[in-house]
Amino acid sequence: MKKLLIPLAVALLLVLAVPAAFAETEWELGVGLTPGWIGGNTDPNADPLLNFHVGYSWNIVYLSWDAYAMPDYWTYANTTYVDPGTGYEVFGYLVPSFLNLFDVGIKIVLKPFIGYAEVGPNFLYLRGGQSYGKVGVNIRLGAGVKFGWWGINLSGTQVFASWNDMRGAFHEAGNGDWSYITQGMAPTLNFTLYF
Amino acid sequence: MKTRKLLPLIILTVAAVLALSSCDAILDAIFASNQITVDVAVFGTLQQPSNPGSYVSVVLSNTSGYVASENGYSRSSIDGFGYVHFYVTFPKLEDDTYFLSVLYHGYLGGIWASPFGSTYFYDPDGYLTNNCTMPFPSSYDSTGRSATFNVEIY
Repeated sequence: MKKLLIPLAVALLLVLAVPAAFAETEWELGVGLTPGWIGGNTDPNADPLLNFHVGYSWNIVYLSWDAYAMPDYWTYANTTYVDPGTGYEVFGYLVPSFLNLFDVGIKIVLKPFIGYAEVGPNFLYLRGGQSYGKVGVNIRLGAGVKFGWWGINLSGTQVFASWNDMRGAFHEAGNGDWSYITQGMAPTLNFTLYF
Repeated sequence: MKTRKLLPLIILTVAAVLALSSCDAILDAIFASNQITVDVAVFGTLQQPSNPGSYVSVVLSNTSGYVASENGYSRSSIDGFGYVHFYVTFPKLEDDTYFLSVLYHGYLGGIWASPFGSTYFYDPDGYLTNNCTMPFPSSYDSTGRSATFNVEIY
């Protein structure tokens, strides 16, 4: 707990002290497109994946919810696992799904440029009304431009199976190896409306 | 003035509620097409896994005739029952009734054997049939949009 005090204090000071020129208080609505191969499709002509975005920024604090529409083969690959108790493969769900990312982080605005960094948990909604119990986590970095009420930005999202996996990736980054964070990062082109 | 400031928030809330209540409809709209995967299980002694020549050809048709065909070269290693599996996938299919015709082209002992196969297959729930109507709900996929049918060649 003591280890968190200093970073939390720094974060609080930043939130209170950052000049208005670097921050915005606003709502966001948007859509994004991610290359189809991210879903596991080897077809070079695969359709891009669509995601829906809702965000809110208060000063530099940034909250967002992104729902990525994932194809059935991605859902199947990510819900199939080997039962550690029996050693047998447990087959997953071959249905489309929404990968929901609930993130919190910071967003800096230096007009017309914006940049953000977030982290948060993932939840999977399966077509048919089920939610998948195993929750992963993700980090997201993004940068782009904003012109008043609309903007475009490019983000990179890295999904981890657990908080431990993410901690491990940051540990390796601290040792100079950023590949655990950047390799396999899903790029998304986002189109956003600001209110 | 307050109403103007609240309006975007109201719109966002309504949009979020609508989106949450229609998740399945949204997913169906995005991934509207059906997909048939054919798992052709060939008894291991009919071919040698080390020889890449053997393959399966699968023809998909409906009541109007030919729809598509694919050759399956990908294979698994011999499973616990002595079969080698070849996979063929037909994506982006419309809602319709389909028929499958599978031929196995075996290369064994340096020569090509005469192709042979089947027009009957097992549906995802294990029932033998010769046609499938997509979407095909099963215990594996309640939406029926993606179905795997199994053919055994021995």
